[in-house]
Amino acid sequence: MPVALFIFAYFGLFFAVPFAIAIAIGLFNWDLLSAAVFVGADNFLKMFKDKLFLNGLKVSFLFVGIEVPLILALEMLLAVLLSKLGRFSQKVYLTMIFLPVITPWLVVVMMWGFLFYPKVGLLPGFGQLVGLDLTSPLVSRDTALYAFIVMTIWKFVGFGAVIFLVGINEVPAVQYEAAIIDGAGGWAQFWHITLPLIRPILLGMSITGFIGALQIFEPFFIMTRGGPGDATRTFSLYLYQQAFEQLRFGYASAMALFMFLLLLGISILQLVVVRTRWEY
Amino acid sequence: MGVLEPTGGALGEIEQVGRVSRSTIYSRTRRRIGYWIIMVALAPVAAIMLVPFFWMYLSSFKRPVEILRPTITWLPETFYTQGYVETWQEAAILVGYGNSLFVSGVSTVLVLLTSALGGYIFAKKDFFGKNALFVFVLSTIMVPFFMIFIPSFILYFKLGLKNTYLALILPGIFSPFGILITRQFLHSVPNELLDAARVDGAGDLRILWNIIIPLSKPVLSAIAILQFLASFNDFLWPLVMIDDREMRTLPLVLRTITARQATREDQVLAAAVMSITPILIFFLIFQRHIVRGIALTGLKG
Repeated sequence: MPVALFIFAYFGLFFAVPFAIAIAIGLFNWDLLSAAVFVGADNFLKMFKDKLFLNGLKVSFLFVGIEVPLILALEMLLAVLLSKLGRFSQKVYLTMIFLPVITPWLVVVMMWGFLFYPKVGLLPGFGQLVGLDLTSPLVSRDTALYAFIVMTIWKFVGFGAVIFLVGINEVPAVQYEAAIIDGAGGWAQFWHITLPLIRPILLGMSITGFIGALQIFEPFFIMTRGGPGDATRTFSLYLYQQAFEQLRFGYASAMALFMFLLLLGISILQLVVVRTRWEY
Repeated sequence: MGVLEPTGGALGEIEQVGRVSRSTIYSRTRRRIGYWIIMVALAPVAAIMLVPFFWMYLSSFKRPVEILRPTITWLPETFYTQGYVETWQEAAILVGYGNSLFVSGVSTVLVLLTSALGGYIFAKKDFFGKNALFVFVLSTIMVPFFMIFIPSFILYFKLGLKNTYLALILPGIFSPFGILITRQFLHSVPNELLDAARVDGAGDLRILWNIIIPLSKPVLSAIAILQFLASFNDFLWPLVMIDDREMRTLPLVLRTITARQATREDQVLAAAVMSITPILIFFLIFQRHIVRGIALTGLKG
């Protein structure tokens, strides 16, 4: 079948070949302009002595470690609440919480930038409205990352809520009615009926959410470019800067490979842990 | 992909015992009260989601001094449109729109065709290496973008594709998700239907065009919208591929306005409003398909 050949050629050329190249150029120092210099495993060894690389890992994992559990919990909460609504009001709410999902990062960063940036700093103004003393989170190394966590949750919470909602809607209503008759409260219903039934979705969402969040690049690139200090210089931002600002394409490729192996390992671990814990 | 196959069973046996009628009435009133509690509880959520948009639209008509005032103001004091006028004249918003629409449009049409085609051959055809190829296509979903980002850049660079529309379109002519979902959907189409068409002398292309595509309209429309949005909002790939001012996509145009040395807040806001309004209208029109599409891809992924 020519179509099959075509599919094979396309994915071969644009996925498998880059994949192979990534491994290969990790072994070179290459700025794309002059000839590549073979350095063997040097790039891989260099990574672990590179303070900014280690910092990038730390920042990325801190970000993901807080963002993913929070957003998953909020998504499920929203989905449960939405599932109790009527058709029409559900639709209206869905539309509203979905607006940020389709908004490009550039615009999201701009809107939140007016709130967070030291220069404009609407956040202190908002603080006054509710009687709190707030300062711009982007000024301090301790708080900058949280600004991104809030922003990311705001942007994506509607996405996951929709997916959980679809899962919850498939739970037969009879089961809830039976549970209510048996005197189960809201929490018990969620814990004993909803959660077991949506756990495949939860598993999928936690893995994709984890991988997706680790790769978030645009807001960091647009908003702070890593600052203040290196507090928001995530792994992916550092990788980009090494490649396109320092022209260290070999080193950046080695970092990408490391990231891939790490993600693969974590996904497998997540699968194994969740499987064994839930399926006895 | 093994991750999300249904795992029923562990529900715990919930036994229904008598005493139905009184409890049902009781639970019905309870549900009505709960319903209103939830409506009220969700209102702040909706507000948090909407307020930034409101503020952006209102503030885009404010004078720069007004925007920079540290206290929160909502309605503009004067109806100021200079930001819009200047941005429109300077920033080539229209060029950005043209480029973005062209690239996203072409890529969407291609993804539709390849999803239908791929879905069809994987669901209904038999050929050598079919399963291996399918696993290969699926595995590309698992590869994080950053893994192939730099080699892809080098590949396109060496192929001389930098600053070409092709460089923006090529990564988006196949969607592994699209193929996967269409295939899943086509499993529900009876083979007898295709056999009947074949007996009547229809070839593969005819079957594809007259049967497969019309039947898979619901999934295809979802795929189309998702592909269009993803392509339209893409930032990183165009950023490294396009330097030519005339070829910049909308996100790149927006970027030049927000990243200028002396940013003008009124221009930034005006540019944001101008670039996002059509997307929001698009969303409100196709809202049903988009949400369904997300649900489809999310569940299958």
